Amino acid sequence: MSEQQEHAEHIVSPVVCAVVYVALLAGVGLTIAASYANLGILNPIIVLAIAFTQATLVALFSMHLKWSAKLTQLSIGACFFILATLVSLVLLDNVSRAWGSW
Amino acid sequence: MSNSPAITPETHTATEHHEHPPFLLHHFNSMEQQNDTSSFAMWLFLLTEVMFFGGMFVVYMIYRNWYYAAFVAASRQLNVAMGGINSVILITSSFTMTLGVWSAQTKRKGALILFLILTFILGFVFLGIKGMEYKEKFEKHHVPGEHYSLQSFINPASDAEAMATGTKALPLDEAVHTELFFSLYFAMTGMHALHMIIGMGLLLFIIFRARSGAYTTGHTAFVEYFGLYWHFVDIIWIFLFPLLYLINRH
Repeated sequence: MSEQQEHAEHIVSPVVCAVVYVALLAGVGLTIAASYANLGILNPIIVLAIAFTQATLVALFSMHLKWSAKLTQLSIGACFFILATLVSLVLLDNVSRAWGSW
Repeated sequence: MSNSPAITPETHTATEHHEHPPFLLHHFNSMEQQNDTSSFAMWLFLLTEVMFFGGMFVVYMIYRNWYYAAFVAASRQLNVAMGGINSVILITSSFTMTLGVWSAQTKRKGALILFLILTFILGFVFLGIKGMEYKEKFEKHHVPGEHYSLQSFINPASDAEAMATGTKALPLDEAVHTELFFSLYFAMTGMHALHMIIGMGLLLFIIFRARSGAYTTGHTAFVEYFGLYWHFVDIIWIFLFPLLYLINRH
């Protein structure tokens, strides 16, 4: 029955959904635990690393991105590349500007 | 199955109509092409949303670096328990949505309706908790604007949350920037909540249509794309929760 499905209509089994669900819940617990521990500079890094991992899990499995068309995957990659470029340029401007000297 | 490359415009009559599923539109060659195209369009829409929320995250990032002490003090005013419960609720609603999509794909009408209703209820509970949090902010005058109050930050002894989280008093020139944090808090969680409200409106429509078997006869695209939207809203919250509620809790 599932053999005739095309890749755009990949069926993700409830078992995979459940595993992702548990992983996401563990992520929430880890995030809260990590933010109550004093890890200095690592605090925001760890919290964001968990958030990115969670987002990746949702995108790949819940949103079926793992089985999507190459064009879709590439476009999403391009979007995040542009976003990262824009964010880097804004931050670069922020650190390199001579604040308060005009 | 493919059409001959006819140069003359195709006109369909009852006799020369090709065999195809009723939901295959005429300008597509196959269901696969139609699904790839419409799914790509949905993703493009979501990517514009990524850029939209991305802008707000950048504003947040810069101001958090500039006014870190104020952001920490203001962040501690948020209720981690409520935010955490909301994270669990939203992730659970994403889970029920994936099960809904699976039910549509495997043609289980009853299960589809059940999971869609569960998703709706969880979304509703999320907004209810968010509403309770907003109400508390109004009562404490932590909503940016004319009635904004700095009391909790320049005199933490007057504020139960500030005392409980051990927030130190801020000098006035730093405390004023807490208003900026709450502006971002309301802008970002407000935009997120608006997306959920729109999503729940769509969900009602889908539940209504699903009852007449609209998505369990092989054409599941609408449910799938709504699922993409709902998961996207979930991802935004996955970032909002740690960035707003958990800046510095130790």
